Amino acid sequence: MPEHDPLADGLDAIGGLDRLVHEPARMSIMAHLYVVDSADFLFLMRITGLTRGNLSSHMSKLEEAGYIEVVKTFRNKIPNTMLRLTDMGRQAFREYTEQMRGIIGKLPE
Amino acid sequence: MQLPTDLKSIERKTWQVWFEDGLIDIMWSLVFLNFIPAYYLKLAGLPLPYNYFPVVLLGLPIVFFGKLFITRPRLGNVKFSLARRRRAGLAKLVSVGISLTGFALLAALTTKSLTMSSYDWFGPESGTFILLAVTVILPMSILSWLIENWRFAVYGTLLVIGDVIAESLLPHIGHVAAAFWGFTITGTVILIFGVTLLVRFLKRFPVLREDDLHA
Repeated sequence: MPEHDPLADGLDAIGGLDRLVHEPARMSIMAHLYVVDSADFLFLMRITGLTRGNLSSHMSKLEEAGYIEVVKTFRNKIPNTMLRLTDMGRQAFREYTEQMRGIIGKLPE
Repeated sequence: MQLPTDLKSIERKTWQVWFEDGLIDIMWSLVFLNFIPAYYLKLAGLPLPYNYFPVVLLGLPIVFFGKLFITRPRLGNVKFSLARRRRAGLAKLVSVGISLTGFALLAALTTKSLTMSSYDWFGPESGTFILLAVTVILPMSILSWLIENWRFAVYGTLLVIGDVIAESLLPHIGHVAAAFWGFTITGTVILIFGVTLLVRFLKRFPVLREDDLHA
């Protein structure tokens, strides 16, 4: 029976990660949306430290994948963009964190 | 940029950023700084306990309008999870409870329907301390726990300590000096701390152009 190499197992598992979530900026956006009900564009920009252009581009990718829902409204006559994780996005993030925990647990000291 | 190594700490950080504007600290400083003006307002004819209100109540519009015109335009809007909203609702109830208890206590003490001699079995100073500990430190600690911000428990404790100092000094040095040593020094330190937080907040989160506020 072949011997298991924990490092190789860990590295194999990394290949199975959801690459859309694995990108650091998108991971940060999804993590912050995961812990709240919804947040507007400005709040996410402030809390993640991303620039407007960066956040906008990652937001579009997550929206295209169906991971976040974007609602554009007006608040006191000023445009307001609210973002929230969809059920699919919530599930994807939960699976991603479980996979990450598994990978980190497999890696040797 | 913070990576999601610990979701609980991300949630806590997302919540606590609302208290980094220093507005509630400034409101608390007014509670401490109120005692000397209250003495002069009483001399000017404003009866007890209403002489305590003008300075303390100034804190409410500071927080309300500050959040509306300073914090939200810089920080944006967020709707927290149901569990967090329930905790915040409970914190509001505790705050109202503290205010009503404080008002009832103040009214009872200042109208002489309750005197410190009622607590003689503890000794006058320790009686005051126990009374205030139950009505201030305990609810402030519950409030601090609910909103996960321990500064408020510290302020509640400092208020009680300040009262014990003021009560002890009052017969020897008079109202104004006793209030100064008991409350004004602490209030000034809290005010400086609150203003420092506010300035740091304004620098960290400058107002953005309208185009940058949305995608």
